[in-house]
Amino acid sequence: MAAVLVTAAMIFSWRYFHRVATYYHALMLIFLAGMTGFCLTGDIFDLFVWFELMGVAAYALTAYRPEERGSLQGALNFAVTNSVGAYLSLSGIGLIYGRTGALNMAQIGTYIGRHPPDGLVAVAFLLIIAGLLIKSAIVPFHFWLADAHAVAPTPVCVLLSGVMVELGLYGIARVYWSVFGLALGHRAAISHVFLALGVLTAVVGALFCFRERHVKRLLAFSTISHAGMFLVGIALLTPLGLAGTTVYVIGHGLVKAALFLCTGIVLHRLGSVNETWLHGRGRRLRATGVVFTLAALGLADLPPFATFLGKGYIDDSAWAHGLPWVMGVFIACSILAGGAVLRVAGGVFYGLGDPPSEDPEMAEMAAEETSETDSDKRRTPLTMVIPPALLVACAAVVALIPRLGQVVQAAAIRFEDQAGYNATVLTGAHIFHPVAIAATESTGITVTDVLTGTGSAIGSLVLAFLALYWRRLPLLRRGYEPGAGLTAPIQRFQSGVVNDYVTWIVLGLAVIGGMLALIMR
Amino acid sequence: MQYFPFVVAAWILGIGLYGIVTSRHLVHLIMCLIVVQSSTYVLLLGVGYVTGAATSRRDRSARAWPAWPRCL
Repeated sequence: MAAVLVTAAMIFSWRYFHRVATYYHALMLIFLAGMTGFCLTGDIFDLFVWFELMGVAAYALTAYRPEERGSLQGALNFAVTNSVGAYLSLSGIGLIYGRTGALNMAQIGTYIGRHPPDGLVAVAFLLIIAGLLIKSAIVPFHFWLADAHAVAPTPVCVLLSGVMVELGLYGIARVYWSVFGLALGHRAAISHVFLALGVLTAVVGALFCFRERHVKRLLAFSTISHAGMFLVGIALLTPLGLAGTTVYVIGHGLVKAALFLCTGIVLHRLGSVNETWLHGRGRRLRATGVVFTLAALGLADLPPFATFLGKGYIDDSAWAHGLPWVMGVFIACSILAGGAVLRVAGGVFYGLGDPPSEDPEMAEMAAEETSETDSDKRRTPLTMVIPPALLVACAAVVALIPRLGQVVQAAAIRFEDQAGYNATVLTGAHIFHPVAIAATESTGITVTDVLTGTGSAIGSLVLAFLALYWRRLPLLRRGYEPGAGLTAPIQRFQSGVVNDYVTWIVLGLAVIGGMLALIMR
Repeated sequence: MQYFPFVVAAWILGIGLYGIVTSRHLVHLIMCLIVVQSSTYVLLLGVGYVTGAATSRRDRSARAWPAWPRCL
């Protein structure tokens, strides 16, 4: 998955930059190595090493144009918050090593599984997942993500959004099921803590996404919202929930990558990513517009895209475990995020909606973005259009693979079978799977899945049209500016100052730690 | 005395984070980040000291060596 996206980004960037420093390609490949290693390692300290490698490559790629102030500031926010997270993780790993004398996940898991969990194990768990929560941009640790995306080169955004954030969540799932699962005893309360975090992230991300006008930041907030949904899928602690998350991550990664690449084309041709300024100016980019719109519909979970399948699985699993409201949250967030992206598509590529009033500030902000790309803006090179088109096609085809659901669910059962993992790693036992550690759930595509997917896509379309034509609605005509009263507090909240971000990290950790302490008592 | 290094590590972590939060100068902020980083060194040293110090030579050969060299 990571390699597919790196390839797409590399082909795209072939013609994208006007002068590519040689270190760009090396850094991209190091980034890929970090991500692959992170997935494959079975050792908790190596997990940290790959995590840092991934992080360092990403910081350097974000600050690709260090001569610009914004770029440096965004990368610095990203680097500081993620470094704090990495050190917290390292402290947690040190504590757990001091307790068990082992760094292999299976060994640690076996050791602490034999003893009743105590304070030290809980603190170590909290510290280790702290770094991963920051990496995966879960509210209130999400602040760095939008800043980093706004300034990073577009092909890098593809990787940050499509893979790295999801890998943070993978790390949480891995650490939970391979190390701490038996010790913490799979308690419903822990699941509820993560469920709450996930829902909060999904809702906050979607709301911020809808009010954003900077297209890259908008897509970044949509990623935050989806990260929240993925966390909900993991927090259900069921094989079907995890399988749904996997499918959802694949679909979302492909679709989001296509959206970012299309944004890159817009930036290349028109020299801006400001939605207000771009209004109607993208009409000539027909192919890009079609791909962007399809990808936006995919983001809004329209069947046959893989996103709809993944979300359907998570919904089914939540429904089966007595959490029917999860479906409502998911639909609302999909509608908000998808509606925002479709609004961009309609406004920029088809000139729909009322033209916004020209704002001199906007033009100024739009002019800031130009230096990233080539000066030849007359046509779009084929190498830039084909990758996003292929990615969208993949996202649609993935969901049509027969027996995908069963295969992924079997993989999820293996992933969650900690005893089996320990036996395989420590004694070399060969376990035949799937073992019935949890009842398998039906992976058929139900009518509800199709209905909710189509429903949220239609809802997104309706919302997008409302957002484009809101000035004509009689209710809102009287000088009402959506969210006008909210701008100041939101800007204070999302200040761009790294001090505030770290304050939020410490506060968030204190709250989660307090909840865990209450649970463990 | 057994808990002393951990208390020190937690203290360094705390003041480092406090420094990051209150810093108004980027170089100062990075310095505080390095303070946070050094808390992990103290912690790791504390962990290593506790595991290795009290064992005699005979004990050490009998005890299973910490698993990380094998698992890396």
